[in-house]
Amino acid sequence: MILFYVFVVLALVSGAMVIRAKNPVHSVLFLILVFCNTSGLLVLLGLDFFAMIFLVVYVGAIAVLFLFVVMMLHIRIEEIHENVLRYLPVGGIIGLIFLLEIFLMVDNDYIPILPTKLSATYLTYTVYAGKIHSWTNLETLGNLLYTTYFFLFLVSSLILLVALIGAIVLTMHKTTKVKRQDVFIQNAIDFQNTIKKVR
Amino acid sequence: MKLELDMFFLYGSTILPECILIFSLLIILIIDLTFPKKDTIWLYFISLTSLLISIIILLFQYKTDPIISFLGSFQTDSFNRIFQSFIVFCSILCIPLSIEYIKCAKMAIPEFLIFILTATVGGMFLCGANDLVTIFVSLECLSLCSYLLCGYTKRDIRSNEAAIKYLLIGGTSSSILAYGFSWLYGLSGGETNIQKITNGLLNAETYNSSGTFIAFICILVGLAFKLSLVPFHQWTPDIYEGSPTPVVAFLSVTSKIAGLALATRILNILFSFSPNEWKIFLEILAILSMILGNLVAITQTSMKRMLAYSSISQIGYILIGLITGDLKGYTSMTIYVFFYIFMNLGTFACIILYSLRTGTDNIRDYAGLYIKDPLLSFSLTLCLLSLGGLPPLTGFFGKLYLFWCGWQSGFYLLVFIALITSVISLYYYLKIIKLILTKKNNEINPYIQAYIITSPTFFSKNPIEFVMIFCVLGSTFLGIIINPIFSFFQDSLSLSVFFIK
Repeated sequence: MILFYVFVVLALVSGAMVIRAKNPVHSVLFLILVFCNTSGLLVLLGLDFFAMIFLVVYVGAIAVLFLFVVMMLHIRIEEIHENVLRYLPVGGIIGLIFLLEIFLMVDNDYIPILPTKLSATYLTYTVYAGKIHSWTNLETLGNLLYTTYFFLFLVSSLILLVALIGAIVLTMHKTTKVKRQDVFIQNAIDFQNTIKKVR
Repeated sequence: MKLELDMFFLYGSTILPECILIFSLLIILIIDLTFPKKDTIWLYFISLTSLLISIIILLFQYKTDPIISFLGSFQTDSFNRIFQSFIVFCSILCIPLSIEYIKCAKMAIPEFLIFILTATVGGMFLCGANDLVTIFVSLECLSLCSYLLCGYTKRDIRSNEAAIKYLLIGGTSSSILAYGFSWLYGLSGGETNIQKITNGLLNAETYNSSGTFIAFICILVGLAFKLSLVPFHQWTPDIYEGSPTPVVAFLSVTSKIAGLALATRILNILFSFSPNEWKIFLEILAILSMILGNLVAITQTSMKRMLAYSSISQIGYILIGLITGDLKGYTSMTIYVFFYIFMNLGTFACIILYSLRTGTDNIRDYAGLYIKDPLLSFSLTLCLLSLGGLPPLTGFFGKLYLFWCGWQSGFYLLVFIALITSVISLYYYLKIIKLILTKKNNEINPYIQAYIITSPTFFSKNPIEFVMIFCVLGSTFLGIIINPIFSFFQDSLSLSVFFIK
């Protein structure tokens, strides 16, 4: 429970720091801290595989990409001395709407302040069948992906393949006229043949 | 677990045509990777062979009973089979069209073939998708390939612009569609299978609620973006103008066919509880696209833009068949789509040929083409007249059946507007034909002046000319045998899901 509060507080504080930080590089670094804390929360929930994926995808790929972009763009730090509260009304209203939606979606039981619908005679039960053989997240995921959803898996793999090829096709500028350096040929060339005596 | 696995392999035959295409796509990729000296003829050969094999399998399987496979995510019936074979047929015709264009534009060939094949697979999956997740995933598979194909000539700024526009518009429309799906998912109590969603909505008695209405509007808007119906059509002319012409030829037919199959499936199964409601909305969209598409097409100066607006109006005509909602309406819709492939691809073949030889697609530059290239101008004339629907040609019979079915089902206003607008459409088609046949050309462009082909060669080795002649034959003479085609499609469509109740 202490761990939970540590993660939550750290995540909230660093989430606030993402918007408050003057230096964009610092703000991306705080974003990474938010992701790390959230994946810690996921571990606490027992979703070990998702926590790892969260780290790999968000921290490993997206946040690092952001970091590169921010570093390349050379944003002057002095320029961002704007009025901080300018966007508060709009942002606050949108945030309140999202908060209300969460309250609507989540059952009252999960929120400690609100009165719960639980009565004293509420029966709890244990699924004993689930305790006989417990599968890990990874096993369940693999089982579902390769049996039930293997059709979707196939199509999405095609999408990924096309996206990969397409990114290469669109960005690679390979013209035949440019003289290019081929390292392999350079290394494999015979020394005897390169220098010749000219009489 | 063993039993389930067996069941999955049992359903393997339902996606066999798609699997063949995926297999050949991988072969092309591997050949491209491993062999440094590329013999491009082989790549074409592999892709065309696989497409042919898959269309043959589709034709053998077309009279299957409706099968729902992969735990409800894929459905096979005669309706899907017919639309899937249309898509494969388009790809077969489009690959020869693009050979010479790619060579001239100095683009990479294997990747182009891979994109075309993946788009075909995506479209085929979309035809049979029976599950919200499957619909979304296969739609993305199709549209991702379309974006990439649009931006394929990356040195051309117009092509880049078209790709970016298509990407943004496609992304927006997909997100709207996904939002509608999420409403349905919530309202039906967490189902993704479309039959189960309908049952869930009926059971929960939420089918008349405003939530369902929001979902319906979102899904309709998403579909209208994909089909480029009128309030949501603005992207079409820009993309048609900017993209490489063979790609436009491919997309203008393939994405429409796939979108039409998807629309039929969603509206008929998912919203089967309120048929009058979606018919009214669809009728408005169809009327708007017929009027606006035909009126704006008159003022266009670029051939490709003109065809873009004409395709907007054509999709309006096709929707009449969907709106009537009975067996004859669907049959005439399918037939018109079939004819549309020939007419549209024939027109595009002529344009590609002309723009390859002269480098222009301005309508003005077609003046006096009759003296220079009789074969090309003759085929262009026939295709355009067929698109306009002049009596002895194929397009006339297609339109006749569509309008007749609409009239019989009581959609008088729709058919009336369709008749008037097809007269308007004849005007701008005839304007081009008049330009080709009569006007004397006094152009400064040296390519157009130098362009003279006097001896028509009917059996030339040029693949574009071959496709052109094939399509012209189709768009001229297919209308004569419309009765056997009609009964054939009617027989097979009567086996589909919509009519077995």
